Amino acid sequence: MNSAVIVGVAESDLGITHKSIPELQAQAVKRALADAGLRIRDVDGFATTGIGGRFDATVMAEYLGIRPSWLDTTYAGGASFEIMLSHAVAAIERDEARVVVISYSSNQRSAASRKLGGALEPHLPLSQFEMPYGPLLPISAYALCAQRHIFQYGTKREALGEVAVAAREWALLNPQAYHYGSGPITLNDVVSANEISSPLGRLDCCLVTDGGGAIVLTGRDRAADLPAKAVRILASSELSTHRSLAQMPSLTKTGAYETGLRAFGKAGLKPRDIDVVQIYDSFTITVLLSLEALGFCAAGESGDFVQDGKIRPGGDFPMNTNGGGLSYCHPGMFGIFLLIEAVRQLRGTCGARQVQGAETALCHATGGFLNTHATVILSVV
Amino acid sequence: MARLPEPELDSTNSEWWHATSRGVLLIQMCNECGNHQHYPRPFCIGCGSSSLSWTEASGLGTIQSWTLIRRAPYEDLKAPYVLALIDLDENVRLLTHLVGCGSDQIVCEAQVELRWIKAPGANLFQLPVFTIR
Repeated sequence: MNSAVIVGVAESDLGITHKSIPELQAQAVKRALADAGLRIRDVDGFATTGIGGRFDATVMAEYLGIRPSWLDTTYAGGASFEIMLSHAVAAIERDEARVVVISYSSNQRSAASRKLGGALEPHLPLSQFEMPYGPLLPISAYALCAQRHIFQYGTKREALGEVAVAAREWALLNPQAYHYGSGPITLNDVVSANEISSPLGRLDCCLVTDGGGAIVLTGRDRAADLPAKAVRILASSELSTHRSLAQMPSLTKTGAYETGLRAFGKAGLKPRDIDVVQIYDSFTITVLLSLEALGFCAAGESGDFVQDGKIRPGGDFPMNTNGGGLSYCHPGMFGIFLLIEAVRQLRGTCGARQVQGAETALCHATGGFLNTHATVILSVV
Repeated sequence: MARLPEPELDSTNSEWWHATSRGVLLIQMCNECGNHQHYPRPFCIGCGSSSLSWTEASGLGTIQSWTLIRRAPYEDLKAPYVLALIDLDENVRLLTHLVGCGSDQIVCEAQVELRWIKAPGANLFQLPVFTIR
């Protein structure tokens, strides 16, 4: 079997770009293909989503001048790209595609396109039964989880804060990060920042920025002829658990319990075998819930787990090494950036933030308000 | 800024919404397996049966979780307000508001009872909300 590997990764310009969505995406795709040593006409599989239209992959394929014979427009929020990767791996193994590009872009910061109450879909249950109560979406959904976690396990407010403080420390080492030059933040900064939806405040929330990213996959046979250092995909898994806030099976046990178990099982690895971890930090609570669900610590113990600088640079659990959605960039759907950073860590090209000797990486992406989950485990070839 | 979304009715949920105008909180119940479910659907998500009926909720429940919202996303909603997930005694969960209590009184697992407020829009519908009992 011709197993799939990742041979190219890139970001577009990030931050406040004043560029359009297709412009940013074209930039990311071109850079990722250059990174892989491939050309646009080599691409026969293409996946994108969430660019604000209906025929997302079709529209972008046309813009890029390609005619893909395999395409994927899965919309699962921030987890879409890990899910697409899973699908692309199968397509490459079955020889349905030879070179697959997965890409994303958003100009939500420049375009000021986010709405505090979320997107209204009047014919769907979330809009009919929950949006009349005015939840702030997505933050209130995560706030309800955080409040329950605090009640159930005695989790301290400072434990949530530590996730944001550590993310900022990592961002100070990443020249691409929005907060690269902003200086550190303290636990007190996070805890005393303006509360938005209790217990979460402004610094518990990911950034709102522009940005795009792309990854390139191909078969291992073809990768052997490319100059780029390939990264193996050991396992991937996906799950959709619910959509409406009241339908979440448990506020403290997310779908990552299942995707993590399946991914570790397929990879034949245990949590302690992972050298570097990228967990979607849409909000600080997302990281705590995911650490427990993935088995890096027991249920209710994530608050203690992140203490004592463990997740900061130099700590013994390197996580979200680009600065994460909290301090690096967050163009709405962050999953692609988890994969980009994991690949760079395994290639050893991360400069000041490089985790020395990293040979295995785990990415866990969530979409919506912890609605969709996808876990990907990568390793050096 | 936008206004609060009005409920959009379809043939599955319309009876539920009409009951709110009488101050009745309905829950869908499966005639085959006894499962209660909310929001209403065309079949039982427990066993798949299409044989469903309506039962009136007791209006009693407990707080699963809550959040104090400091900024309203709609012009016709005034912050601060408390959003909550309530577990009804009938074993279904609702997203709703907690009313008539300060946030210092609110704690998960506290017992609550049903109240009603007007639903958004030019209609007679009401929204079920809860207060600490």
